[in-house]
Amino acid sequence: MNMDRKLVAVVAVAVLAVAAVGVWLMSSPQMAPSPTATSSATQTTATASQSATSTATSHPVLSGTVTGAGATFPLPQIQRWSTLFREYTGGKVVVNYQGVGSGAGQSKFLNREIDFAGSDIPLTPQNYEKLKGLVYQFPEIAGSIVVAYNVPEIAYSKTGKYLNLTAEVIAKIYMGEVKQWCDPQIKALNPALADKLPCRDIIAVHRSDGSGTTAYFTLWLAKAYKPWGDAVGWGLTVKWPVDQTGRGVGGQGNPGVASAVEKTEYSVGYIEYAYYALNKKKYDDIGGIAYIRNDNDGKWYLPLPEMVQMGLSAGLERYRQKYGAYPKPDEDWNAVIQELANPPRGYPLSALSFFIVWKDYSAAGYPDAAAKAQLVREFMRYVLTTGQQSVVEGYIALPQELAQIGLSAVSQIKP
Amino acid sequence: MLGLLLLLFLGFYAVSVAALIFLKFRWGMRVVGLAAVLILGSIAVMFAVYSAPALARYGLSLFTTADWDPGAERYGLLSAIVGTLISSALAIAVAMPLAVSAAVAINEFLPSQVRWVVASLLDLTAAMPTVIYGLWGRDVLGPALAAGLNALGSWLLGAEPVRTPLNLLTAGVLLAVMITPYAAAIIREGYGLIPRQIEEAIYAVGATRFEAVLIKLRYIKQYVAGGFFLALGRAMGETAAVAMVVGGNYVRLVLNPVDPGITISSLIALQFPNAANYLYMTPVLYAAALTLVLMGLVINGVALYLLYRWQV
Repeated sequence: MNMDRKLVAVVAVAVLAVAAVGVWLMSSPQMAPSPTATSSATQTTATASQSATSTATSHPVLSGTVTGAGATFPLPQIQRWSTLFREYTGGKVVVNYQGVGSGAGQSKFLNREIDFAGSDIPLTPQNYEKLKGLVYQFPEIAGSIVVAYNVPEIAYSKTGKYLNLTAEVIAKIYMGEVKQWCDPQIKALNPALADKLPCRDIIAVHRSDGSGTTAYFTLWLAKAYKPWGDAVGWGLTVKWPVDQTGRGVGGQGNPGVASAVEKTEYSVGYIEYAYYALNKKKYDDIGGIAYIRNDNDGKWYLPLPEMVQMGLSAGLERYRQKYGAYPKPDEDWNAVIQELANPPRGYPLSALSFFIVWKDYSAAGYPDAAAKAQLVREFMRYVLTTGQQSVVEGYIALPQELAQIGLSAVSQIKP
Repeated sequence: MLGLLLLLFLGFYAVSVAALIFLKFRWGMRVVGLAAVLILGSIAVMFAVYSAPALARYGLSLFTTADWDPGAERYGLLSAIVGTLISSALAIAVAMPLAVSAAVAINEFLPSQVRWVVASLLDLTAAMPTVIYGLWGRDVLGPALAAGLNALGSWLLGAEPVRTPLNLLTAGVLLAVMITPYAAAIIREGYGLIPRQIEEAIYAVGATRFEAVLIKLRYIKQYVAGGFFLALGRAMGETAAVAMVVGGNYVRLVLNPVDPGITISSLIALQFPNAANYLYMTPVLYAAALTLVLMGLVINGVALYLLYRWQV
C-alpha cells in the first residue's frame, strides 16, 4: 500500500517535470532560429512592434516600444523625453532606457540586446573598428562639470567670492604636487582671498566608479595642461597620482563625490553641474565652486548654460577649421571630443552624452526592422528638436550646429 | 542552447531526486546535497574560464601588485585583496563581542516579556537593504567616526589621524553593524539549547553569574564559531554598502585602516559597468571574483576543520 502511494507520487512528479519541459520547448521555437535575438528584452519589444507594423500601415500613427540602455548621466533627461514622447504619440510609444553604464550600453548594443545605446563617450576605438560604417553616433545632450571645494574659511557665504582655479593648478592638485590650500600657486590666482587660505592638506575627491564625468574632466586636464596628458592621460577611470599620497579619495557616483566633498573639510572634487544645482546653498556655506580660466582666451568662467554652449560651439568651429567640415555622424568621434575639450572660448569643462544607433536595422539583423527603425527615427528626431527645449535643470541643450549633426543622421536611418 | 541544456539537466535532476527520495531515501538526500557542490563548482569553473585571458596575460603578478590603470591595461588586485582582509578583520573584531553580548543579554538578563521584542528587532536589522546601510555609513557613521578619532587624536597626539571619512575603518565598522545580527542569531540559538541540567550543575558548584555565562559560552563554542564564520563570509562578500564608504583607492597598497582603500567585491561593483570599454578589465574582474570564491573556500575549510576538531 505504502509502496503504491510512493510510486504514484514519483510518476506524478516525473510527468509534471516532463510536461514543464515540453511546454517550454513548444514556446521557444520563436527564439531558436533567430540568432540575433539574445535576450528576453528584445523578445518583448519585438512582439510589441510587430503588431506596430500592422497598425502602422493602416494608420500613420506610431506605436510600439523602443529599448535603450547605457550611460547613467543622461538618465533623468531621457526619462523626461520618454514621458514627453509618450504624450506626443498619444501614449502609443514607450521608450525604455536603463542606466547600466556607458561600457555596458555599448556591449549590449553590439549584441543587439537593445535598439539604441546611450554613452557618455563615443564608441571606443576598438568598438568603432568593429562597427565602422554600420552605426551613427551623435551627441544628444550636454552638461558641464564644476569643481567644488570645501574650505570653510573662504566659504562663499562668508566672503562673497568663489576661488579662481586653472587647469594647471587643478591638475597639480590631482597629481599631488599642490599639497595645501595656502600654496603660492593658489594664492597667486586669488589675491583677494590669499590671507584667508588655510595651510591645510587638500583632499582630492574623484570618482571610484568608471564614469563619463571622469573622462571629460581628465580629457580637459590633458588638453589644457600637457604634463597631465603625458603622465596620466584620460579615460573613464584613470590612475590618480594623488591616490599614491593618501590624499586622494574616491566616491561612488556623482552623489558619492558630492557627499564626500560636503563631509570632508579642505577637500575638492569635480561633479556634474546637475548635482551641484540641487545643492547650491549647501556648497556656498562650506566653500563654493571654482571660477575656471579658459587658457585660450584668458577669461574666467562659471558654468552658466550660455558659457558652456559658447564653449561647445567654439570647439566645434575649431574642428571645422582643422578638418574642413563639421564631423559626420558615422565617423570616429574620439577625434571630435578632443577638439571640443578646452575650446578657444567659453567655459572649458563641458561634457556630452551620445546616442548610438544602427544605420540599417534590417542589415543589423533586427527581425522587425521597418517598425523599429521608424520608432528610433521619430524618437531621436523628437529629442533633437522639441526635446532640446525641455531640458531638465542642470543639463544644457545642444548648440544648434551639434543638434543638426544628429538630425542629419536620424533622417538616414534605414529600416 | 545553453539554457535548453540547463533546463533539461534541471528536469532530469528534479525527477531523479524525486524518484530517489521515494525509493532510496538516503541516496536521494545525497543527490540533493550534491546540488550545492555542483552549483558552487560550476560558478568557480565559470569564473576561471572567464578570467583565463587575464591570468594568461598577467600571471601571478595580477595578485602581487597594486595597480589600476585601465588606459594602459595594467591591473593588480593586491590592494583589493588586502583591503578585503583588513575590513573583514575589523568588522569581525567589532561584531563578535557585540553579537555575543547581545545573545547573552537577550537570553540571560532581559525580562522574559521583552526578550522576544529585542530578539525580533535584532533579526529585523538583518533584513534591511544594504544600500540603506551604505547611505547611513557614508553620510552619518563615516563623518562621526572621523570626527571622534580626530578629536581623540588631537587630544592625545596633537595630530588628526583621519583625513577623510571614506576609508577602510568606516567600511569595517559599517560591516560590523551589518553582520552582528547574523552572528547573534546563531549564538542565541545555541544558548537556548543548553540543557537545564548543565545550567543547574554550573550554579551547583557555586559559579557566579559571570562565570556561568563564560562556561555556557564555552559549552556552545561550536555555535559561536558558526556565527563567526557566517558573519565573516557576509563581511567579505558585502558589496553595495562597502562600495559607498570604502574610498575607492586602487593604486596603493593600503595598510593603514583610516586611509581610503578598496575591497574585492566593491571593486567589482564599481568597475564592472564600464569594464567592457577595455580589453582586459572584464577578465581581471572575473579573476577577482575567483579570488573571493577561493578565499571563501579556504575560510570555510578552516571552519570545518575547527568544528571537526572540537567534536572529537
